[in-house]
Amino acid sequence: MSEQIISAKGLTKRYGGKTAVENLTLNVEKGRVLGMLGANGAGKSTFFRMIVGLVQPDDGHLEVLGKEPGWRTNAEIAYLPDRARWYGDYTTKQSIEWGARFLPGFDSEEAARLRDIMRLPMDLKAGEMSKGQEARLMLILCMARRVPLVILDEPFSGIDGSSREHIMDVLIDALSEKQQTLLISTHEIYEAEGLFDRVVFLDQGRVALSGDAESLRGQYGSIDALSRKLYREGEK
Amino acid sequence: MQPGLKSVFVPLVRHEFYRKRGRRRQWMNRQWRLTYLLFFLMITLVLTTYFSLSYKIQLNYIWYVFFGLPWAIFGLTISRIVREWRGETVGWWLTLPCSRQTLISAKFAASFMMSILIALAVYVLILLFGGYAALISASLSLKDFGSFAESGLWFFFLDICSFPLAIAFGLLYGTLAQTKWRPAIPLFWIIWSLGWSIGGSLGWIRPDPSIQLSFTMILTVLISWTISWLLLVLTAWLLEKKLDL
Repeated sequence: MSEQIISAKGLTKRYGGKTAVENLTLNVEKGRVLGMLGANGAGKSTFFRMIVGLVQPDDGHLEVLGKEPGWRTNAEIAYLPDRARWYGDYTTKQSIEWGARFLPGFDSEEAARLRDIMRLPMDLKAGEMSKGQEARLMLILCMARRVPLVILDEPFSGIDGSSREHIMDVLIDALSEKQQTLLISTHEIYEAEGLFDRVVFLDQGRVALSGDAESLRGQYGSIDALSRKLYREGEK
Repeated sequence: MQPGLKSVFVPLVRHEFYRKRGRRRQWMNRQWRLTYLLFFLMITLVLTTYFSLSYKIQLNYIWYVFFGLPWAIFGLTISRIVREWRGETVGWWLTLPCSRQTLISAKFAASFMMSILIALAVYVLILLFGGYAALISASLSLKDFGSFAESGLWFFFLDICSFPLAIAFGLLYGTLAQTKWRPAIPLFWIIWSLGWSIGGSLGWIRPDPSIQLSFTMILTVLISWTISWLLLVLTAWLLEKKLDL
């Protein structure tokens, strides 16, 4: 039996009258790439926030890397938050130094290599970067870490096609080299679906569908096509 | 290389200390800021010259500016928390592998250092102003200036003693707004106002320049620092358990 990196049983999170995650049970195995898919408000970001201890579940049990999630487990998780920005007065160089200082497992040489691939000027401040450049910088801070779990919450959000290609190249490159478990949520399924080993579709906080990416592709043609099908069914 | 958790505090304080306010475009550029500074200096110079030559200035009253400084520091500290949300860096900040107590203590330490620098700058500016007034005034002697500088140091010291409480309240207030305890904000102001009016009517809170170093004063300061520490613990707990993201 393969090692479980994440084990969630009956997770529920409510915000006032709205249920963000409802009775979510999910196991993620080591070394897999899991695509967390679903419409806005489906509960993807809330689930990720629970994993990094930003949000406490109201009910259920969650274990991350065999422990209760919190600031201690974050030493082993590279997390790209949803709708995040970077510190505007930090240059690329300073940001990489920041990563080396504060983020356990941060590999400065790997960060420099990724920076070359991403074509980010060293002395450009994040506040002066385009959104795509800033997203690439934040991705470097995650992907240059040698940690067992990487969580990317909407890494392509609001980013132009060229930056998306850069990000995809880096993800494929990094995943082939490191034995990391990757959780990724995105609406750009067409471009990212080649990465997925497994997909979970969330709908209103519940698992609508989950399965092996390869067999789902065989069944529906593509994950993107399946996503559209589920979306249309949800609309009815 | 794995950064040791214990070695993270000083770099965190440095990170907080040097961070600028936000990424929003500044509404006033450098030239305009310089223009305003020169205008302010010119007005101060003209008024100081006029009043020094025409009247006997009571220099010591100028130090009352220091009584307003803890309020300004309170406001500035709130912005240290708020900017994490406005700048959309909160996800990075709160997922650092450090306890919430470490994160909030680093903001506290950076705010305290910044507050001392601000108070020092205010002291030097007022001293320059007093020095100029004493130089041109016929009624002010060098001895007057000496006692003026000395009493300013006392105000400076009092302010530094009060900063921890102002900073801790600022951090708590900024945090409250981001948690499920948001409805406690009016309660915060009610307790604050009650404390202020009761303390004021009992004579505990008043701008008294003649206050002396005494056992009561030392005890008051120590109690205020203890309250500050408790407020920091409460703030860290709120960030850990009651965050509303």
